[in-house]
Amino acid sequence: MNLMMLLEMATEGFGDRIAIQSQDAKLSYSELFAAAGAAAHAVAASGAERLAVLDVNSLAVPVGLFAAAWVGVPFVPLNYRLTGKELEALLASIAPAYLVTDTDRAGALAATVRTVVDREGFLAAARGGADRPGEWSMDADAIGILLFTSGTTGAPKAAVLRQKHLVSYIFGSIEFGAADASDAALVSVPPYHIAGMAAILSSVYSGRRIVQLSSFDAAGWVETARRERVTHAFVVPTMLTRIVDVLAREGLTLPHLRAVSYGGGKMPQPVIERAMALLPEAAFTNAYGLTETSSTITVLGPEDHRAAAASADPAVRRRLVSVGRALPSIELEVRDEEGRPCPAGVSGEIHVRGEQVSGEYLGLASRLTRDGWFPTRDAGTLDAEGYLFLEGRIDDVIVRGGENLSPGEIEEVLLAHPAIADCGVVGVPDEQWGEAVAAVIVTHPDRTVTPDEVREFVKQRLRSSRAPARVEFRRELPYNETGKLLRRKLREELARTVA
Amino acid sequence: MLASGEEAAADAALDPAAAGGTALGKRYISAGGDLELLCTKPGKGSLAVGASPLVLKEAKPLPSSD
Repeated sequence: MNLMMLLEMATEGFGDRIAIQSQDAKLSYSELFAAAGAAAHAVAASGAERLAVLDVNSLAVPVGLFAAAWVGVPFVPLNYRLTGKELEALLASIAPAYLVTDTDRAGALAATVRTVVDREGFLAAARGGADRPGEWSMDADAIGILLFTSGTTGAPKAAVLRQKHLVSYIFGSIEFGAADASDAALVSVPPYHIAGMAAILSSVYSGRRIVQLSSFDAAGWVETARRERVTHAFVVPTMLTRIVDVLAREGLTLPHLRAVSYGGGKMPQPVIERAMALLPEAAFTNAYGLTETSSTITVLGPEDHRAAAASADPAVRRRLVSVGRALPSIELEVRDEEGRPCPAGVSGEIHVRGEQVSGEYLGLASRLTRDGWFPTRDAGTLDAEGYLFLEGRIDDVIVRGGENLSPGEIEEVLLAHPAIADCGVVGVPDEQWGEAVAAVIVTHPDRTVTPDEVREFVKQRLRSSRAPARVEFRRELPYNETGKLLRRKLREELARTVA
Repeated sequence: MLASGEEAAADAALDPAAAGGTALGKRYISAGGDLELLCTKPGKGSLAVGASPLVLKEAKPLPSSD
């Protein structure tokens, strides 16, 4: 198996179609194939053992991804916000590397890596080159992508995604050539996020034109979606919030947009309800996945969204905030601390198994169990029909007097309060209980709520042990750039300011 | 019958009984469902296990998630 199989099939099936465009620059599938070959030749000649891209979205990302697969070296998309010591440490861990970056950085990093080229030079050589290596290796265990995980819990680690994981994910979730010739997917997630990688692979295999946004801003996203007649898009919740604000403020519609998928963080129910109302023609899909699972493992599809939004049954309506059910190619269980499957409605750790699941980090022992299950460290609950509800990271679970409390469950309740725009719940040290519940709240601009009202609101809807002992107010909460709440940061802030 | 990697004779002719074709990116399954193949290189011939032809597997599209 090799990712180049996907591009070779697309080239054979619809080679003249536009595969990808970035502003005015475009590549058809045949051109992308040729460019990958020429870039592969250059990387092979350099003797580098990894191909890294430190840049915003551009044509260099897909060209680099497939070139790396062709040569048989890992592709390493790096976070372009990194600087100084952090960046040096990552580059040292992937040496000897062939690095593609922007012109400003190319000079400064020349001493750090084997070969450094600026993006435009890399692309010009790839588009103009005629040399290409021979057949790519079909070694399914070769590493396809090394992805440094976002590190909301500590130092970054590189997840190892082998050719077999990535190709299995695509074969298991996408039908070849299923896109219409007029379909276009807007990709605005950064290339160093698993969703950015998965978007390229899924679109190539389905024959859907990729429209790249170099980096996300809501006005630019809406403008590009309208101009390029975008039909499909993946967004993280914070992006959708801002997009919906722009649409409402400017009175704009997105008449071509048929499918919006979202994931990467908690989607507040008011945001998804507002988005569905503003974009009635679009089908919404919530996807849950991890870097270590080669992207999506569960989906809440358009039919689930419509059924939940239209239902009078609170249990069905609540599915709007679930991440749906496991893909057919994935086995999923929620297990208790002893490893036994939890019954429906009982919270535990999410475990998954399937050919796309890697569960491996560079230089560390595999996290998979002997029989192939990956403990995700995500807490969740399945309902009676197999819909999965996420409850945050296991490490974020608040242990109060021996009782395990889920921050996600309390946040969901708080967000239903009319004065509360956003909130984060974390555990703080407590002499009596071990840990106590703390809620950090952002109110809507014109609304207020008192700590006692917050406690009472939770008490009425959940058990009194869930009511936050400590309630603080902020103008905004700390998120990483893909919309994950940085609970570690919240805990640190709360520790500094004693109640 | 040819071994893997062996060249076919230049005058080899396709058996009309096995000329249904195999299409790029389609999946084919055996009658018992114990064998599934994905076509990565298309051709005029059709697939069979012994005398039992493989049949086209209906696609069940999933919602686009990325």
